[in-house]
Amino acid sequence: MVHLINDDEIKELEMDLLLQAVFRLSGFDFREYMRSSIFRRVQHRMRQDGLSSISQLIEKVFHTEGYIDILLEDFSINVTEMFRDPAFFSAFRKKVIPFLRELPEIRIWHAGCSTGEEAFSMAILLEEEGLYHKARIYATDMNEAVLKGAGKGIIDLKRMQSYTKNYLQAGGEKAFSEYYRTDFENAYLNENLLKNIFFTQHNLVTDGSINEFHVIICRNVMIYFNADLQAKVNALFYESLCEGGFLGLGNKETLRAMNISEKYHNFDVAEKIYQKKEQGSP
Amino acid sequence: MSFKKKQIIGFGAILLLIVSLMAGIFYMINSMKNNMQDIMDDRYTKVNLATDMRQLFFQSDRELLSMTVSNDEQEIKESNKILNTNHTILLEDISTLTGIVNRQKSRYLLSRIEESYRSYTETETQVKEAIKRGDKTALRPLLVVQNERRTEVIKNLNGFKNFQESLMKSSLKSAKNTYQDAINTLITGLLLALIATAVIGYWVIRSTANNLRAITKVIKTLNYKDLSVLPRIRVKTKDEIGDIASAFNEMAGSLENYSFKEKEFTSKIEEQNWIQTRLADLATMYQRIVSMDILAGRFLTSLAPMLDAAYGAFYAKVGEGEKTRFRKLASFAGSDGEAGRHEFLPGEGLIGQAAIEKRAHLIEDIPEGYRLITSGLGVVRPKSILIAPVLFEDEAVAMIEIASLEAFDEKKRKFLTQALETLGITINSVKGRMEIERLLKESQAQTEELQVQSEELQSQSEELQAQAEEMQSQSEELRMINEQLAERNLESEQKTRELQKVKINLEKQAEQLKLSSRYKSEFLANMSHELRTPLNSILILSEMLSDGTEETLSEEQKEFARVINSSGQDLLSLINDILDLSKVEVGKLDMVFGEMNLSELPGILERNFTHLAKSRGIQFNIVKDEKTPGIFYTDEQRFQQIIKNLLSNAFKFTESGSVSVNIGIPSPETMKKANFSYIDVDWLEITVEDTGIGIPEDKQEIIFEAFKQVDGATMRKFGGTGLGLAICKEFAALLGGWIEVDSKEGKGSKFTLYIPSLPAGLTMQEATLIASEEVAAAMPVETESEPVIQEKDIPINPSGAGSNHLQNKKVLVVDDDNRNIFALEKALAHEGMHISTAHNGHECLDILNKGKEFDIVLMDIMMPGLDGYETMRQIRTEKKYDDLPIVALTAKAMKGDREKCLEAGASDYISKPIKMDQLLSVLRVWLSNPSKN
Repeated sequence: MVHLINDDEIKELEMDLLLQAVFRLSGFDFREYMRSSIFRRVQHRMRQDGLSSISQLIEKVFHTEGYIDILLEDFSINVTEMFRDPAFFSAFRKKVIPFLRELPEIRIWHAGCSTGEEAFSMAILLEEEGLYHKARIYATDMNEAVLKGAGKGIIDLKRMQSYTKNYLQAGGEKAFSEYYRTDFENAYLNENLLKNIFFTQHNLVTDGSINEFHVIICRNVMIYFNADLQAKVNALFYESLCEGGFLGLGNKETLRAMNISEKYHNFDVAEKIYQKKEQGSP
Repeated sequence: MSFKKKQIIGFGAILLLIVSLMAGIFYMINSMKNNMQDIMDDRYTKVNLATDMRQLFFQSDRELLSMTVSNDEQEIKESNKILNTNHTILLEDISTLTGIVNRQKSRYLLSRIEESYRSYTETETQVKEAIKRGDKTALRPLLVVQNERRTEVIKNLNGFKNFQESLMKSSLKSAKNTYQDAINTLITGLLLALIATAVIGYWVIRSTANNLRAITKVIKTLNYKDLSVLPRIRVKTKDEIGDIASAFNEMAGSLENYSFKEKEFTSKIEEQNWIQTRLADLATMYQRIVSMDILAGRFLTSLAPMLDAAYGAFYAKVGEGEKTRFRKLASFAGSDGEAGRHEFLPGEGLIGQAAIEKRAHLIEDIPEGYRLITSGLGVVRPKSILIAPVLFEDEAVAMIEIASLEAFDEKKRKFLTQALETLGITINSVKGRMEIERLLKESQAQTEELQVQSEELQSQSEELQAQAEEMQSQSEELRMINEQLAERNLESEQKTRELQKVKINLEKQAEQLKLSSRYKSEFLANMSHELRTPLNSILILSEMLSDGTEETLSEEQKEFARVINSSGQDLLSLINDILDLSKVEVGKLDMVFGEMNLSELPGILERNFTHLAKSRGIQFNIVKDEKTPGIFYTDEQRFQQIIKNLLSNAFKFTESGSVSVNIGIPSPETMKKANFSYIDVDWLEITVEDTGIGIPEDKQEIIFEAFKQVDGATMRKFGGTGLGLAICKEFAALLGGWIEVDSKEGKGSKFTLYIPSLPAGLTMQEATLIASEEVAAAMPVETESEPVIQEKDIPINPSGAGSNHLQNKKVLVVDDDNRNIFALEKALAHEGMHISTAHNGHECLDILNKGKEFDIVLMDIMMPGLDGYETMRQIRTEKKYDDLPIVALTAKAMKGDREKCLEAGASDYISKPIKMDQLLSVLRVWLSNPSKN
């Protein structure tokens, strides 16, 4: 008879099985995500649906039509704002923009862009600095559904007050209202702000490099990943950055792995902006 | 003898010699002087006296002789007297000589003189007596005797004299000798003194110089580079030089001592340096090491060459208490398999023992069969092995074992001891660093976990909110359905009533329409039929004339023909326009907005009306303000049509005086009347003024209405359709502007056209609005008039989504510019908002203090008195206005405005000139209920 293992170990095993199942069924690989976070999402789903064990959830994943999509939606956390952490954008404007000014073309990758608010913010920032015409912003997320909405540049009117505050704190140079029109439900970003933003589906866990970029912004995305996956994604970013290119992380994140952090200058410590060292420099 | 004494003696002796020499010389000179005195005083007197005596004797002799021969008594007497005198003198002289003669011989000679003289004197006396007696015969013998005796005296006198002279000569000779002696003595003395001086000098100089030379020689031979062995000066004298020598010797002694110590010190320093350099190298190597493995490896690879070690191993302590072991972390020159033991326990083997004792062990006597050092060619046994503990806080935290083919000397051992001391500290700090690194990573992981959780929470709360909102909207929907049901009842009642009203209105309108359409159809029928036919012929003929096929026509006439043709064309287009007028009223006339060159306008007008003016004897002036823009955007055809119409009218109703056209830009005052949409574009003001008949006040309202003139009589007198002004007014409105009239009966009229420059033309919506305005008000809009848009009008909703949450919101507009206030009022009322206005900051604060509540404040910044910044600051001091949205209206391109606004407490800002669309967007944003993030 098999020796009974304790509850925690059972849960661990169930989680393994669930994530394995999700991967095999959908191609989305959450096995290297932070277990604690994924576990909370799973619990959330179980509470919602009144399930008492993960195994029941696995059962539903296999046998209930569309259930896996609900679960995937649960796993995907789309928290974003325009000019989120205004100090980051302020620092970016003051310190990074001078480097970009000389480039004939500026390629920026917003990895894990969610509904695209940060990409819009970047577009506004570049517009104000007179660089948007030569910029190409690649905004990617693994969640195709959110990308679909993002491309239209529609924002809930209710969020606009806080975005206005963020914009002003981030050192916006004009009136924020110059960038959108409204009706009584939504704000619509100006068409010309969207023209150089390209929304594409890209999964950091499974997909490779898509281009060589001058700036990669990936804020509060890797916090959901475990150390191994973080290292993998960091390697991907390093590979995708040109020499002297900039990597922007969330303000709670750092380049933890020694071998990666040594390849970057700590360009702005507070706002977590790193600059890729040029080859041959110490 | 001291140097000083020698000098005193030497120079004293020389001094003494000189003094004695001087004394000798003085003495000799003195004796010479005495000799000369002697000669002078004694001999010379004696010789002199002898000579004198001989002289006197000869004289006496001669006198006597003369006496003898003389016969003259007188002469004899005379001679006798002389003889007596001479005799006395001679005797005196003899006695004198007797007194002074001191020599025996002299005295003898003198006595003989005396004796001979006495005998002579006797003879003489006898002679004298003989003479006296005149006894010449006696005389002769006597004379012979006397001659004998005289010869005797002379002989004696000469003898005396000669003796005395010989004496003098000998005296002179002795003086000469004395002089010679003195010279000789002087020369000898000088020579002696010189020799003595030289000898003494030589003795003094030699005795000092010798010693000094001895010292110099020694000093010269000194080797300053090596002060270890110094020569000594061998001077035994007890003088100053001797002192110098002994002082030098003393100095040499201490220098030797010093140099010895220095050498000792230098070698110590060198050793220290050797150690320090290597310690420093190690310390540099320690930097940025974050793991024990790296530390151990680098330490060994750095240490081995410094100690000429051929083999080494590094063991670090792991575990505490009973589990304490030392595990190998790195080895040097040991291949993997044989690089010493993997780990050992404290006390196990020599190294284990050393770990317990916390003491280094040096093994010089390597036992047989000890571990061999492998080189490429073979194996050797090490000469010495050093096992040393690495201590930290008196505890062995690691062990080092190194083996060398050479002996570990004192220096190396010392170095190792010190290196291990710092290594102990480094190990501790590296461990600390590793711990910090671990904690940092942990805290980083926790931070990220927190971030994840907060994002999850946020997303959950959003979800919840969405659900709540859904619930709310569902209940809202239910309520709405109820309300709508109730409303519908009301509405249907209302609608019945409204329908009734509308029916009455419609009946009225139908009647009016019937009336006006009757006019129109009549008129249009006239127009098209009666006018087109003759006009066509005019056009064709005038064109033919102006084309100039007829050579009989002058250029002027051809120009007339062209004018006729163009006027005919205008007329035709006018007729077409009249047909279009009906379309205008139903909003079907198309306007073609394009670029118009204003500078051409005066020329065009001149060409068209100069002839008319001339023919009627009326002055025609065109004045163009320099400030008017060159390029203006409007429908040129309609624009010219208006001007031409106005001018035609002016000329028509003016019989004398002038007609003037003034092209300029309107005053800001006038602009208050402008449609708010075009406040910010260029405007044109064209005045056509005449001195004609004018229009009575009560008729000024109706002249713009189609088919109406002041009265029938006028029509008859001046002709015209009465359509011109109506068209002008319609066109002006379609161009976005308006026409004003100012006239006094009998004095003249002034028509003013205001139009905006509109590159994009009027929007459909505005065109419609204008059309509706046309119906509502025949006269230009007055500043004080009610907003044209009625409250019941349905607000424009760009996408038709959502409900208008601006409706019934209370807005406070703070602006000192009435024009802006008017525009804003108009626009916001259109959105269904309730507007209050304040003209400055104080007014704004007063209104707020009176307790009126507002949903939003629009605040102009540039205001006299209390400006927008200060007003906002004061509003924000009140707690209840913390969340009141204040939108600042700032002048564009004012740097720092943004910061100032935010600092003063603005929620948002828009820059002037205000775009209505943007303002409404901002209002929608700030009047929406924000989602709570």
